[in-house]
Amino acid sequence: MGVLVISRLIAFLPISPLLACAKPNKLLCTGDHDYCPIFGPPNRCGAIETLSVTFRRLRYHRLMQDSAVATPFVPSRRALFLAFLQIGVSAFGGALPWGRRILVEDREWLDEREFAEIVTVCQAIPGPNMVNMAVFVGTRYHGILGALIAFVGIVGVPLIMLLLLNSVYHAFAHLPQVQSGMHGMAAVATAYMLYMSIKMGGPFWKRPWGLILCAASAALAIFAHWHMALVLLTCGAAGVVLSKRGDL
Amino acid sequence: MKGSDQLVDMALLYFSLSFLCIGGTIPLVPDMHRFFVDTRGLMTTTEFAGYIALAQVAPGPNILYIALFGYHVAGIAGALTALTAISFAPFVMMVITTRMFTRLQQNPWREVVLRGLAPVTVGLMFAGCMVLTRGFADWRAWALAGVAFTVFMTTKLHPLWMIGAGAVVGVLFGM
Repeated sequence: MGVLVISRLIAFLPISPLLACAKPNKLLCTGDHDYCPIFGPPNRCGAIETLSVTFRRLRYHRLMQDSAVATPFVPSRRALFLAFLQIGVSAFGGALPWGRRILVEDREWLDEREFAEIVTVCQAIPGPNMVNMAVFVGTRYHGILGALIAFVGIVGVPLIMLLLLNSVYHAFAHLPQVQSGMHGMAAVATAYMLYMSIKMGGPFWKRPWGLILCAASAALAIFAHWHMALVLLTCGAAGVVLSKRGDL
Repeated sequence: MKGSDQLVDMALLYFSLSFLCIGGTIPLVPDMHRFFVDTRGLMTTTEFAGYIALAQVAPGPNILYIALFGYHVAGIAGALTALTAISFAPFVMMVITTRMFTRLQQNPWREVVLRGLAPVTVGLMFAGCMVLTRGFADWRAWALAGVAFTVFMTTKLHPLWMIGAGAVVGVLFGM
């Protein structure tokens, strides 16, 4: 950490523009994702850092020690925004496969195992998985600001597209054909929801208690009109007790 | 009810739901249906299901149908309010979680809680599907949904194609 601060101070000496001109990524950075002591990760090589960048990187180092991840590569805010914009725009019917393709295969910000671990954590936290993933990746690289950037990236443009689509739909909503088409689409979307819930189920299908709990929570919501919170509280507590005992 | 009252009403609903949307927002559909259709009477079940289908057709994470409900109630302001309110709790929790990622990974309770909640989440998703079937006009909608479900289970066809096909079938048969 101390070396980092000193190297930052060196970067403010008058000599640093000269170093910057001399293609520092060739001179001082050894590998592809290598951390250059003066100029930072390769995507920032050649620029003289401002103090705010220095502070951000110090905070990032602390975060990294907590996350126990060795790669010191930090995508810029713009790259962060663009990556999640790309995920948001290309994600038709389920964003998770696209998130994997873009974050793991294309950008290589996360490796396969890391991605799977983050997904399990995102499932345990309320909220849609891919949006949670955006907040996770954003926070990891750029703090709360990064989380906001990633969130707006994944939600913003699709929202605008959806509102446009919606206004087109409403402009023609009086036509009987459009109404019929909408009915057909709604029927298929309902079937897709059913399919998704069965796919998500996991191993509890084979346990009798899992089936009972699943049926009970569905029945309480449909027939008894219980509020979601009440169902989650009672059935969820029962589920946790059962899974602790090894019945789920 | 005045427009601003409706906004606050909806923001409170989504703010409270945002703590509960474990496993996505689809399990929340029964609660939203109760709010928008049964108690407030802001839209019909068909419109409700139509918005969900529309959001499935468009790109993006599927919480965006929540923004469409908000848009239906109060325009752009409604859409932004709904989206902000539903994202609030997940956002804050996720930022905190990121900072204690390693500790959470090693906690043995994580697995226990996840396994215990899975049946409840799926049960609530079933309930959501059942609520949406109330908007089915007649037996043809049921038949179409049945065929679509079989196709989803047996093939790896992209859902978008099936939803498009659903629209075509709906127009052809005048559903």
